[in-house]
Amino acid sequence: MLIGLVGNQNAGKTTLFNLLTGSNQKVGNWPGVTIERKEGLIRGSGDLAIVDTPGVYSLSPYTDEEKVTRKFCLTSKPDVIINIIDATSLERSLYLTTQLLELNTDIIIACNMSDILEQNGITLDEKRLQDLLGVTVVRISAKKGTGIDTLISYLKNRNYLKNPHTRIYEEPVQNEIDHLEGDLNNELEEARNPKFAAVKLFERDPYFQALTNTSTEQEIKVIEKTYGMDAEQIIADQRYDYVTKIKESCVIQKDVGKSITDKLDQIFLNKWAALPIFVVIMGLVYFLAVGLVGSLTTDFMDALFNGSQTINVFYREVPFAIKGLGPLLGEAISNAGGSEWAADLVQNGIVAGVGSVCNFIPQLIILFFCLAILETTGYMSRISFFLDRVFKKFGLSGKSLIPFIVGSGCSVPAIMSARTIEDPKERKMTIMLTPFIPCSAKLPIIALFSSVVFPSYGWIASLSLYLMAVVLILVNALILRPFLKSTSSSFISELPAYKLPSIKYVGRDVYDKTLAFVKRAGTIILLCSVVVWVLSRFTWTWQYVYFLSDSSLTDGALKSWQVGQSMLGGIGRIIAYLFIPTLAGNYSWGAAVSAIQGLIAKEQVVSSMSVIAGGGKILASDIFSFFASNGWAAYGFMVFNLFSAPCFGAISAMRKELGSTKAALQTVLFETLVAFTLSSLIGTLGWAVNGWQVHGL
Amino acid sequence: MSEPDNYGLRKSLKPGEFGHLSDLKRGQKGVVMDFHNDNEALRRHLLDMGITKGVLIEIKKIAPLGDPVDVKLRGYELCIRRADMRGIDIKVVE
Repeated sequence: MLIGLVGNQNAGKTTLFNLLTGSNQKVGNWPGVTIERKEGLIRGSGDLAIVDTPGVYSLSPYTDEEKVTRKFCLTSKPDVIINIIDATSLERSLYLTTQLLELNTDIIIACNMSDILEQNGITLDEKRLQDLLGVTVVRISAKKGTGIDTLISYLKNRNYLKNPHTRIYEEPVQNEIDHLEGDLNNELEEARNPKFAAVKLFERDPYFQALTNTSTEQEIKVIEKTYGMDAEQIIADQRYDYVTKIKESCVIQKDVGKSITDKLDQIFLNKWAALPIFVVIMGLVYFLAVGLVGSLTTDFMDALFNGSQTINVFYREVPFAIKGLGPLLGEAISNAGGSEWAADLVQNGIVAGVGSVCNFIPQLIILFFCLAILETTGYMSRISFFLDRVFKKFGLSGKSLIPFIVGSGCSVPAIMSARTIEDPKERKMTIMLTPFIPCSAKLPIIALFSSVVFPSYGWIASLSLYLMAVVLILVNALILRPFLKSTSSSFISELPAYKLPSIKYVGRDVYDKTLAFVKRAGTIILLCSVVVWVLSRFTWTWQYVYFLSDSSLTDGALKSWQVGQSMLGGIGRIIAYLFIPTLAGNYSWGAAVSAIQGLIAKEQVVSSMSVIAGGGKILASDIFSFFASNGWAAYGFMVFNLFSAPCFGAISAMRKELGSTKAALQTVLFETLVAFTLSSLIGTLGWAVNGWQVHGL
Repeated sequence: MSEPDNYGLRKSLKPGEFGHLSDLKRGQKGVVMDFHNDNEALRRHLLDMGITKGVLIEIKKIAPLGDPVDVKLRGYELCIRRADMRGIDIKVVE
């Protein structure tokens, strides 16, 4: 048996889906969290398959994700559709119901949000609702989990009411629709839902025109004339008339004064306070993640992997003597008689490479936590509401903000969430510009270098990068705008009621994202670390570089000279010329090859530097010590890595959403060009300040 | 190509007068008399959201920068841009 879950945006479909199936799909408090159909089995049943669909207000789709729902309803032949309705906005919810009832499918109505009806002053008589609509109505609260068993029992026993196919339109309209239904060409696939098709024909929907041979244009015109409206208006009008009558006879609405949401909006959407509050909230997110927690944990985590004598906690040296995982393993291999290179591979290849990325897990947890809070409280929709006017001027939509905020976690879901933007141009620009937002994988780069730029105030440097990302997005939107076709854009959205975040879902979200990060560290970063280790430890003739010697060099310089003789050093020395301006006059093959590896995954930049540096503190090593004394180079390097081509994952997401490989490649090229120009400018400024000295050549 | 951003001084409308939805101030209510939009899809979308003749619309919240606007109709709230509100003819009731 196939069950569909259909309803308005933000009605709680996915929350109900998770309850029914016991799965953990992502939920949030903004319209458009679900953008693809998701399938599952109802728990405790072997054959009750259920499909979660993106939210829609009607079966006429406006955006790609809404088309998914229409396609499911019309062509997937569900046995029953659970129509989840938001009891606090019954009229709008039931409008969709009137369309679903025209399908050749039985409907069960799950009346959600029943737990907050009372505080909204609403009394709902669901028995009466069931009698009036003629379909089974189950009162549930997806949030509290009530009514779910009743719903499941209806599905299992199939004892729900059959679709009554009530005739809801006024006489002349209904007669014409019946007439159209009778004349349908039943052999065609689209005729599977004849009542729905007949209404669509009445509305002159071109998609259904093939279904009929009879011309009814004359009759429809006469009806339009009597009502003084066109066919689409007549249908929408009469659907709402029907729904309003039902609502009036089963809902009692008391005036409860201003809701909490309205009171909070007086603050968060206040004319003067809104922008400062937004800046403070976003600043706080990055201060917490990058500044506070970073200064507390980064050094400690590093000590666990690489060992230390003292660690830096809140900018203070604290004694903390620990051997560290890498040195321990390296020693164990040497003691067991392993070769020097084997110990080096484990200690300075694998542990240093993977560890350098894992150092940032505590910070990422905080970042993911803050983002989950923004998503679940309903504040994110306010941001897109009040910034729409600004974004519109740049050819973007207020809804672009959602991808941008999600993008500070990961670009891939962010690029996909751009589907909720109606206007194709705004959507395309949003997809192209989202990778400029520093994602969580770029956080290690920011965290590593920010402390160099402004010692003790690293979070200011990192905040400046986020602000720069916003400026870049807006400026580039202006550059891109003339190249894309324009249609008249719109912003139709809703401000969801504020909700206290559910600990369960926030926890789940943070866990899932952190786990994905750790998995990447354990797979792709591990693999790359080994490859980088091989390339940076062997010469083209497969000589182990640490066996090379040059008596004219001191210890640290010898080590960096040795690594420089490797294959990676050879490749890097060619690319490094390109990065001289970016690195403020420093010629560094190590930085150059690491930057290129950002294509695989942005964390890989730091990981590669760690392997090349041979474990330990990256910026203390001889190869990369120039960063520590040259804030310009550090800033230029960050800018390049943050704003250049995103990782392959994001590129393929862009390719899919833009629908063309060429467009995706053009975007990547464009982004890299922007990053290269900007980072060169910044670096060159520092180069000039230092009197045009070139180091390392 | 882009919308003129300065909508000028909004007319001050009293109950019983006719105008566009975009003329209303916060807290004012109007009944939809007619409704047009050059963009077919957008017009359909607004119809689906319940903006039909005779429906009562109240201006609930205005974005801090003046646009878009959050309006209340049919027991729920909807955000739309001023540009689209100008296509909605109303009669002021409150």
